[in-house]
Amino acid sequence: MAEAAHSNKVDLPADDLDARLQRELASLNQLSWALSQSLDIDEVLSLALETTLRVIGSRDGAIYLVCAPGGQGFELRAQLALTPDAVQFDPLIPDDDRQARQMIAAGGPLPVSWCKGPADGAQAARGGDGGPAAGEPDWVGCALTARDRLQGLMVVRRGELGAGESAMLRAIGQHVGLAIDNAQLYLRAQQDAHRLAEANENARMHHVLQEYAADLEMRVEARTAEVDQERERLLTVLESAGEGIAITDADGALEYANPAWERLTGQEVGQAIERQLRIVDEESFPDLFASRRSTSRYQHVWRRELAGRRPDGTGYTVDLTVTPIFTEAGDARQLTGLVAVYRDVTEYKELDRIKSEFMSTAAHELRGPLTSIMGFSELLLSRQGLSEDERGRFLHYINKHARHLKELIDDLLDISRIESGASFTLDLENIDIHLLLEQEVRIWQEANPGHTYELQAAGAGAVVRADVKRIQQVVRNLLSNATKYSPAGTRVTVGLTPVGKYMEMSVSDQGIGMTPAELSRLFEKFWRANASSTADGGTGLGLVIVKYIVEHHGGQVWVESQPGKGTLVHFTLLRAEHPTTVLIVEDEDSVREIEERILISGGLATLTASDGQQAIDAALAQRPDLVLLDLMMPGMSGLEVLGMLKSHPATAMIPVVVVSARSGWQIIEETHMLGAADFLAKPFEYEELLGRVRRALVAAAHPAQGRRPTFHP
Amino acid sequence: MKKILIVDDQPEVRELVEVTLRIGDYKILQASSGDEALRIARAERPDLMLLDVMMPNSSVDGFEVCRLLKSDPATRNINIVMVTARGQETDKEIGWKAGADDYFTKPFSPLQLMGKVEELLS
Repeated sequence: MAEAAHSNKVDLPADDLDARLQRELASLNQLSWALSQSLDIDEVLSLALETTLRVIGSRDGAIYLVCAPGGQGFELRAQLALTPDAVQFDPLIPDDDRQARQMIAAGGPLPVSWCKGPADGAQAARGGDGGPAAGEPDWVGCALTARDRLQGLMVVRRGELGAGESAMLRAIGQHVGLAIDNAQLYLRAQQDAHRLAEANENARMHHVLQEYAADLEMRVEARTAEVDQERERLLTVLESAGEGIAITDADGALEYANPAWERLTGQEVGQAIERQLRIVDEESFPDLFASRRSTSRYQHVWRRELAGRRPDGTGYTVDLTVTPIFTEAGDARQLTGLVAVYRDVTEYKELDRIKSEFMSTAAHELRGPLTSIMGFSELLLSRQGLSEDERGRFLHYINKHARHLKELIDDLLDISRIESGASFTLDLENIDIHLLLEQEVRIWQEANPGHTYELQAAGAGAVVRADVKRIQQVVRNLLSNATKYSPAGTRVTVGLTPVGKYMEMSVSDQGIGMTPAELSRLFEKFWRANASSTADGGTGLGLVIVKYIVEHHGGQVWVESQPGKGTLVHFTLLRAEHPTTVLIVEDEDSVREIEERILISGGLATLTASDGQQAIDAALAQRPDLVLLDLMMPGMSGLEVLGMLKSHPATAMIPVVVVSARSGWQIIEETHMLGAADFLAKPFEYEELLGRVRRALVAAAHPAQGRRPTFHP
Repeated sequence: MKKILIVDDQPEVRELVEVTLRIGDYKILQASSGDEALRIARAERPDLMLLDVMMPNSSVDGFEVCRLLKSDPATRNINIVMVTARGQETDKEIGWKAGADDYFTKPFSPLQLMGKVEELLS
């Protein structure tokens, strides 16, 4: 066909040919340039078709591209036509058409027979050797190849082509093929790049997601740990709470309870839960169960005081507070459980009971003496004709019971003071306990001739540090008990014995005694061994007060008793620390006063004597720890006094510090020979007097370390 | 002459009641324990008893004495007035249940006691 076309053109003039060639070359250049301007495949295709049609001199044309690399068939990708439906080819190149393949490989124009017919739908079948039928439009195909691969097909409406035109069409086909290839490569590269970028992005995203996931996981772990920690904290609070706390389901069946609940109820939590123990029920909380389906947002709390009994039989009373737990489910509000808090009020109730019992007992005790006071005074006021004897007796009753009443009230006030922990101040002083006991025994003996009172003292002159009124109260209380609980004609013995740093006092009777059980309750408030005897009863507070007073003094109280063998109550008091006493012997008042002040300021006790005889007497009677001795005195001289003190066994060991205006080694030697511990010349400094006295006291207390006073009879 | 039995473990209280009732025309009997009170009440059939509740020296307290006397047809007609320092409602109720006719709380006014006795014996 190419040859035939070629032969059809041989008659063209040479200059025309040159001009056409030049035109075609220019067109090709133009096409090349245009094609190189774009990498957009559709732009390239429409540009290629437009240029080709212009170069070839046609108006209708189309480009088909092979569907997909290695795919079947073609697709229309560009067309230029006078009428829209002018080109309706359906190019199909069977795979087995070897001729077509060869032609494609050669790059020549393709037979239009491959193409479907024009608009009328008829097959524009043309044999390779058959020319186009007269009057029918001719179509010429051109393979678009690149790198020996068919890229597509370009068809143009055109009559027979000349040889030059064929060659040009072939060249155009190659150009366009290459351009398409380039564009496709570019597109692919672009797509690859895009894909690559996408892949990169995906990879990055994946990484981000992974990091996010890891972070999330960490946060979840941290949150879980936080929640665990919070749970642990709440659990610790619950477990360590002093009040019993229990959680139940909506029906009041136990689901959780803390150790305090366990202790309070005596129930084992695990077992109680297993048994589905109902700790809140309709019986004790009817209103709770009646209103529990209420959807009200008002959070009601139910409270009851309930008495319970532990498995071991002991009872308890609780103040039980029940709070519902609601769970919000959308708009609905559902009761999902109950929290029960148990406050143990057993002890409180017991205290309440004891207190009211106390009030009742106290009132009763006060009524006893009041009966006599009120009754007899009314008789005295209203009754005529009472004998003088009766009047006197009634007044005596009134007075006795008024005193008793006062004692009861004092006891009650003491107890109230002890109970409230208010200050129970003791007015401490050095008291001669022996003297105090002697006086009390005498008073009691006079008041109660039916009993015999006796003091057995092994500690004459014992001094204790105590509040004299309080100790009198103690002794009277014990004597009262001993008298009350022993028959007339028996003996009440008061004992006094020094024991170490304590003085131990005792009061024993020959009365009814007490059983061990009675003994164990002795110090309980309001308790009395044999019920109440309003005759000369008490509040039952006496021993409680005795114990408190004695213990407040730093002493102790204990009781020995057996039924029928009497009762022996002991109590101890700390002995007063014996103050270091200095006997000042000085005839000059002003000097004596100065010395006294100095010694007292140094924490020493003083005795004074203004002459020799007084000094001897005081030393013998009081046994001072030291004698401060003036030498020059009227009457008996200091030296004489010194000699006498050192010659008497009772005073020989008392250190003597001589103070004198006389000086010189002779007099110092003389006093030393007589046994003086030291010699201080007048006038003296404050510090020096105190220092010398202290040194002498230390030396006397530790004879091995100091100079022993020498004694010459 | 109406007979009145005074029961109290305290001699002073017995003396107080005795002196109080002295101006009336009564024969006064005394008992210092529950046991003694039962014995005298059964033997003497007094018209009235002034009965203390708590008598620690006795095997029976005043309530029991009252119950025993009131449940015995021979002694149930004795008027019994409980006289006690225990003034609580529950104590009064125990007294009523034991059959006591009246209740007096210590401390009491001798004049009022006299009035009560006269009222019960009239």
